[in-house]
Amino acid sequence: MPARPPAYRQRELLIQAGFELAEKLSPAQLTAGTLARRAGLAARSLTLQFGGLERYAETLQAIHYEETRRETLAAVHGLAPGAARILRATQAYFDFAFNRRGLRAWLSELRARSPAMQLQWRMDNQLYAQFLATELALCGWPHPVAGARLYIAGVLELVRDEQRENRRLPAARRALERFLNTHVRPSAAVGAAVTP
Amino acid sequence: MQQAVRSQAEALLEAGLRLSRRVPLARVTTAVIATEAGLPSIRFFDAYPDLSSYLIDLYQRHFLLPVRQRLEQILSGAPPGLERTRAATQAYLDFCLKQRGLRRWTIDARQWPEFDAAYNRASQGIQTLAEGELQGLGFRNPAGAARLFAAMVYEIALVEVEEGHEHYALRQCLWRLLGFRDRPLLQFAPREAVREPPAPTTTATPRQRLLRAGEALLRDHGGQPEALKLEALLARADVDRDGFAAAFGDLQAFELALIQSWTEQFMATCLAASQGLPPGTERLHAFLTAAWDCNLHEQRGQRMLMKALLRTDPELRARILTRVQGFTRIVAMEFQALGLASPQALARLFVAASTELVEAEETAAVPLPRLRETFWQWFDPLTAGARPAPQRSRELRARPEVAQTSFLTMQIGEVPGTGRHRRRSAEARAALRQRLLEAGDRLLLTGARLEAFSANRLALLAGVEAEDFSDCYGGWDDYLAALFGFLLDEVRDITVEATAHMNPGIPRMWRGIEAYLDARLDRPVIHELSRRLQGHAEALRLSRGRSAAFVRIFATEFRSAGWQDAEACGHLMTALVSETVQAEYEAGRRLPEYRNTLRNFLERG
Repeated sequence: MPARPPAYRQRELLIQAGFELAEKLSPAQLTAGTLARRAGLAARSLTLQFGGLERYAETLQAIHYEETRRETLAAVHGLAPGAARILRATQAYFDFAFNRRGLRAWLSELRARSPAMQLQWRMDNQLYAQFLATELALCGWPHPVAGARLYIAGVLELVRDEQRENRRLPAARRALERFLNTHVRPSAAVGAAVTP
Repeated sequence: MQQAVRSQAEALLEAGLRLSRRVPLARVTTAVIATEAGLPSIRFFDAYPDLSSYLIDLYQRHFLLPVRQRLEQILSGAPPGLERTRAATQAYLDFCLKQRGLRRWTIDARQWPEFDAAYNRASQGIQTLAEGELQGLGFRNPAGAARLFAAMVYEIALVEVEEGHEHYALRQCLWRLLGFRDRPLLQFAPREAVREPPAPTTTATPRQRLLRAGEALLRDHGGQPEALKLEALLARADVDRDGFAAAFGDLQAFELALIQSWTEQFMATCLAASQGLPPGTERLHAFLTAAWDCNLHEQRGQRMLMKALLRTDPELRARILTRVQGFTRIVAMEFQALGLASPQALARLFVAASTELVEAEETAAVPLPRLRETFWQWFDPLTAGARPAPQRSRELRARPEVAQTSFLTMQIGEVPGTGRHRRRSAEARAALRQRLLEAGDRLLLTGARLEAFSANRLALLAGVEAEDFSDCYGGWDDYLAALFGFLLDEVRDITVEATAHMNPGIPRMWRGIEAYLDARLDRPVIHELSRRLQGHAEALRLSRGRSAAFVRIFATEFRSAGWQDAEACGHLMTALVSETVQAEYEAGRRLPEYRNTLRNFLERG
């Protein structure tokens, strides 16, 4: 009989299982038992390691947000501030979110019942809004703070739409680009579409 | 020398006219005007002693004089009667719109007492012209009728100057009001208002005691805001400084709370006076008479305090404006229940005329029965002649086959089959629901929070039996979901009315968005309901339905404006508007930076 992995490893395996299964199963099928089985662990291990599905989802969401940020920042590494950098980051965010649409749908369902996850979600959006407000100010937006909040609302809506439609929506991405270009200084604007 | 001063004055007036087209009055100084006229700053004072005298001269020479000439031309060229009055009014409104920069300056300058007094004197001539015209239209008190008429015309000019174009619905409403030949004098028996018993004094909190002390102080000192001294308040309420600080923080917060309490009591008194009456002329009389009496007697002090603070506190001005809009909404609901067209616009004129009456009574410090009678001469023919109360039903409107007609044959006000064990038709039940929803809406307008709602209270307000409530709604959340839909319907109706008769395109879209944002800001309870009803199937369906409708409307507008990816842009615009609604709800006020961002996107995108 194989030795039981240490606690930290069990947590890693369970998180890994969450990322994998979320893209294959429907939210209703994602139970503590299913996740533990996929991780090759005993049925109660998720409860033992995380204290329940809600706390587990909080951890999963925090890791997902961190990875999204890392991916988004990596996509714009070395680029100068401006509309092009914002659009490149947006595109990276869209693509990453699209690849994880199953996970996002599941997290969104769990979040509706969890104030802690809602707080995480708000904080994450605020963080993006702060970054973006600085970028928009550099692009010459007249109201960068308001603009950042509105732009992010547009991004989140588009991510939800792509998730619901289960396909990329190039027209919607172009609309968002149009919104961005309305307010940037001509020198900072991007003429070419970012969508494939 | 005198000739030189005269030509300088001419140059300064011409400069003012040019400036008024591009600079708000707040940024105008004597130096700015002199510079625009190409004169050294000091020369301004050769021609005028101060800015206010200059503005009066500007108003008289470049607004009043030409408009008066135009009106006299119309009046001398046509026989007396409705058509002539209408043509003259139209010419006046068109001129306001043409000179809208100057008009806006005049409106802003009226906050200066010396300008306001001169403005009133100078405008007297136009009012006299109106008086002559209205005499021929069957008014027994032409001077009073002209005063109320001027208030309504002023209100329309205000809206049009603000929006930059003619407001079709408002003008149409005014023509309708002018057009009634029969102006009856209706009499209704005075009503004893049903009031909720006040909280016993023994259990009053320091906060309540302080508020009552504030009211008493204002009453004793003839409504002078200066009477609100901290020491006097503390002595009268028997509260110490710490108690005051814990309840309000500072005197400014106390004054705001006093006004808030006044507006709540005011609304509650008006609603109590009209309680139990079906929608119609009598209910309007009861409601408004209570409002007038309330302003004159019981709460005169708070009203004067509010007026004093309004001059100094823009934040307060915004809040009070919301309350006035609340009052207008009640009246609009009444007109809607009576089946009158353009209820919002009509309510706006109604409230403008009523405000003028309140001002007149306040100056006289006694009720003015003749002016009240004249007020009803303006509006009674409209409401008394209305078709008996066909009421829209949300349930039916939701069905596409009746969405175009959207009227029930049921008459609100006559609710057959109330009470238990009675068989009730679907229409009767729909009418009951409508009454309960209106009662909820009215309760919200008194400032009541959702927690203060109960089935019994709503049934009492709606004038139905308590058991009818459970017959109409499966559970409490079902009622709240219906109220949520009712409020969303109101917002939609306001938006539709604001854009009626405008051509498709970006200006119409922007007008609709602004009206929508204002209407949502005016109804913060929609957010509270939405939060509370998370997971409620009906509320979810309503939210999604509204969102989808928005996308469709925006997409159509974008398409007509020739935008690429119209559908996607409609979707994006929906998200942006929704986020702006959220941001304004959090801030509790309009946020111009968000609105400008949306507008720029529409106009330059």
